[in-house]
Amino acid sequence: MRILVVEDDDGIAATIRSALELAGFLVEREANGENGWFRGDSEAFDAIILDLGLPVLDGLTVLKRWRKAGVATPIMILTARGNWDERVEGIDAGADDYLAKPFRVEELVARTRALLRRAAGHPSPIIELGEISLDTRQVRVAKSGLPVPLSPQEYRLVSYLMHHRGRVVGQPELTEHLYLQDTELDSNAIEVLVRRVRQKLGTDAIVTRRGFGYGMGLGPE
Amino acid sequence: MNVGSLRLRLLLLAAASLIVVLIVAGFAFASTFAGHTQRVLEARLLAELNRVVALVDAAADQPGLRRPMPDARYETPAGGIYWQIRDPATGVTSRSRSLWDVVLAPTPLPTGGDTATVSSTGPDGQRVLVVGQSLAFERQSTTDRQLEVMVAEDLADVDAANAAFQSDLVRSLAILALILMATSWATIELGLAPLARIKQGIARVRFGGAKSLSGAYPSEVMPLINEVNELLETQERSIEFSRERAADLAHGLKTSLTLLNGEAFELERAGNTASARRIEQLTGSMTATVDHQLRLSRLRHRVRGDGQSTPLAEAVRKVVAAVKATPAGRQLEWEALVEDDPKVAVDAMDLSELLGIVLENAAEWARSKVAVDARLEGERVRLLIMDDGPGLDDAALATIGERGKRLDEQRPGTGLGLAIAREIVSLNGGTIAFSRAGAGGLAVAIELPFAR
Repeated sequence: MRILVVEDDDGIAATIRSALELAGFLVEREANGENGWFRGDSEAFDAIILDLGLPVLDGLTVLKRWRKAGVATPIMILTARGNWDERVEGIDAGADDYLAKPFRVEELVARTRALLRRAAGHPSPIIELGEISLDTRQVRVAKSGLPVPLSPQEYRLVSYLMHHRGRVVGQPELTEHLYLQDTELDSNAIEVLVRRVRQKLGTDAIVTRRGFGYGMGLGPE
Repeated sequence: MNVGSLRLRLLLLAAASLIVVLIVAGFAFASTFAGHTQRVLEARLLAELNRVVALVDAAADQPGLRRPMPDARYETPAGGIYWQIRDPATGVTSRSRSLWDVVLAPTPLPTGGDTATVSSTGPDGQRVLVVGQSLAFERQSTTDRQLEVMVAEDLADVDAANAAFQSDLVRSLAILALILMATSWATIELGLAPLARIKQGIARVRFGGAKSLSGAYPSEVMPLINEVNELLETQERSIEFSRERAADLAHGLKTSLTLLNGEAFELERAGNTASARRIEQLTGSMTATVDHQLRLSRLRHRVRGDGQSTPLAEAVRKVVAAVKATPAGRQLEWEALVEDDPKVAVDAMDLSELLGIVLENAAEWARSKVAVDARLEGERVRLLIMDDGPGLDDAALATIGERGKRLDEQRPGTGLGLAIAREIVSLNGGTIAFSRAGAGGLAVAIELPFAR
């Protein structure tokens, strides 16, 4: 799960990054509106955290441009102003959630998780699929109620596929959502990752559709 | 005299000078007219005197007229016109029948063709004007005879004419005084009119959103207008400066507070939960203080425009969407009904803030539903916001919305928020009232002025 954080203050950006990474997310950060807009417009993110008070191009304009261009990524806006007008305009411009500075880091993480779940159509923080359950709050995967230790990358794969269960996810999409930009990848990196997860969760946990990609919770072929 | 009022001062001054001028003018006119009537009478008496002199019979012992005067009034007792001839040597006097038994008082009369004019008393005790002269009449046998000839006429007609003139004069002068007072008043009003316009202009600056005094003023007032405008501009700049400083300060504080929250998060991860909670409590209360002060400074220092007109339905829709996006709002059923799409005379930012505060409060307390109902009632737009939460008892209802009164210390923000809501409503000429909703929760009734 890759999240774009557009925040000009280095300290706050670092705090957000460390908290989100701890929650199992990949974080990409941009410090100004122009660059943030470009990344959000040209790459696929699972969620965007957008500060409204940005240099070069203000957050509200960035938000409006994305929505106008059809970017459907769930977006949470951050603002230090704390007045309702900005909040109302932000939501009206297409933001999905709003957080006023100063926020508690746990609140930001919880809201981000909720944002992703809602975007995927899961109202509960625990996503269950057969024997396998994903607890987004605990950053844990369990099989038949027993916790299965996963590396962060393995967790991200399971989390992404479970958030998009019932759908075949292609390799390029997985690469985009599981690795930071400019990461040097072996051509079979995803294949290797899938194999490792199958060893831990069972061979049939992840289904392969030759030539299309992978999926969890797919119906019979 | 109330020297505090420029208008009264000018009016009293105008009235005083007017009265003095009119009294002096009145006396001058009256005395001129009296002098004129007397001169006319004198001229007539002089002609009469000449006629009498021409008829004097100086030869007789008792000097008299050779034949009666043609004017019949001389023969009528107290006829109004009289003659008298007196010989100063013998004291013998003859006179017209009109004088009856009265002898005109002898006075020293000039000789050599000159005449004298005096006042005297007539047969009925009335005032008469006398013109007389002393003349030498030639006699054939003896020396010339010196005789005093006088004619007199009643002053009653002249007095009546004078009185009539004076009463006319007083009436005319009174009317003139009224006209002059009216024009003075009009002049003063016209002269002071720029002051009234300045007052209206300043009121527009204070309440209407104008930034300076505009329009054409007389050149005498322009320096004052320029001074006031410069003062306003300085004030505006200083307010803008303070507002920016306040916003910068808040921004800086909030950035640091966010970082502090990050530190608390790290502390908690390291196992120091107590310190983490303490830091979070402190950052929480600091945030509330900063937000409150920032909101107040925005409310106090905002620029209000004239003729505000904000569509209510759109504002309600947007704010409901924003509150719906919060964790509390997402759980609830929302019912928003705005009839007739009324526009309210409230600044758009103020309206968002007001609706946001009240709806967020409702969302925070509601169990399952928040209802918004707005309708036009005469000149006002009535907005009712109801939740189905636990509601409040009567004592709490009475104090809700007073600054710093928090109704439930466990759930932050309520008291401060509703105090701000109350402030916004009163700044925009509306009312806000709290009561128990039918469903048991809190009902907030807001009335806002309708914008035409």
